[in-house]
Amino acid sequence: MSWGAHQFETYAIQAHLPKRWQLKVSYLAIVIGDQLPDFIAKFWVYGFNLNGRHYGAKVPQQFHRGWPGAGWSHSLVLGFIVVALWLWRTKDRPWSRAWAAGFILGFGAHCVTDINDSVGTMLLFPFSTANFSIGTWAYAATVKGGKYLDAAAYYSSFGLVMDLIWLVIVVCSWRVLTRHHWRTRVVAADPRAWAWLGRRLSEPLLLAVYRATFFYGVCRVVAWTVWAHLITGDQHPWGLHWGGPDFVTRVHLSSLPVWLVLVTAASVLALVCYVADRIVAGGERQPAELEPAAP
Amino acid sequence: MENARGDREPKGHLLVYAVAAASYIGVGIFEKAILNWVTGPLWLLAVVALAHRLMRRKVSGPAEPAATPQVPPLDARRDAA
Repeated sequence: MSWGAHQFETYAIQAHLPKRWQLKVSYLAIVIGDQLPDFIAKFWVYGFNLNGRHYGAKVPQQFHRGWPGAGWSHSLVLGFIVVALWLWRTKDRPWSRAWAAGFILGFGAHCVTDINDSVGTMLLFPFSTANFSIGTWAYAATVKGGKYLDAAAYYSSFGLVMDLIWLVIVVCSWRVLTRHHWRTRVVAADPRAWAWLGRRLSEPLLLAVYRATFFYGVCRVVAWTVWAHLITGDQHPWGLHWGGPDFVTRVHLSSLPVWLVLVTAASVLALVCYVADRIVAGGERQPAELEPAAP
Repeated sequence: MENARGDREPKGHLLVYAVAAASYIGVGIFEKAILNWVTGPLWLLAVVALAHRLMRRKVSGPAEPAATPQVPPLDARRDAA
């Protein structure tokens, strides 16, 4: 799975919205869309211990990304269902499309980003239950190792490199984190939600809410890396090679050629962008166009 | 730091975020349970709220003691009755 990347990619999306989507995509919805897949599945992947007994998935990778399991949480069909229901229930509201577009962008980014680990995601579910993966690093959630081994493995592998790449992308687009951008782009695209928050929080806190995801991403990258390599470094040697690290058993659910995975992922991203564009464009129609033609 | 349109970031905001990050990372390395998507953002909000409150107190000065109504001593009230 990806760790800090899922925080940084929300800002990368916000910073690189096409001009025609400016002020029409909710950043809060991007975050919710990006967090939803793991919010659904990850708790049971790691499980918990109670009275000496462990409760959780017996085969974490199968539950997290496979079928049968909760692998549908990382498939685009769930994102489309949520968006369709959302648009149906809120179609008369002015903020409806901004949230729908933001959600599907964040959700799609998460599903595609997670093809990097050795288990991947069911990008074409329910049409196919194959897991699309390019195996950049080893999936490391295990019953015995839990979250700590998973973190140590991720931050000993190309997963750390992935997080740093996304961080560099955001740093190169640093204006996305400024007060000016927040006021003129983020709040302007989603005035009702920020007004609601603004009735409860001061402006410095509103800005902190906006920057909180970035803050959490940076802190978790640093904290886990320091823990894995300075505090417990002898247990977690670096594995900066494809499919690393070596101190975890590499698991996978399918074996598809890398070229097929990349073509499918690119197609999925294109579909997500097309759908987001249609959602945004649907809100641009003038009132006259909506009236039935005179007989 | 002033952006193109003149939106000034509050003075010291970078320091506040740096303190929040350093404290969160420092504690998080040893108490890894706090490294989650709920505690992380809440930690930042708490530090920003605290810093903002301290800055406002520093700018406005110590609060004046509230004026209390003059209550005559007990003996005077008994004598009046």
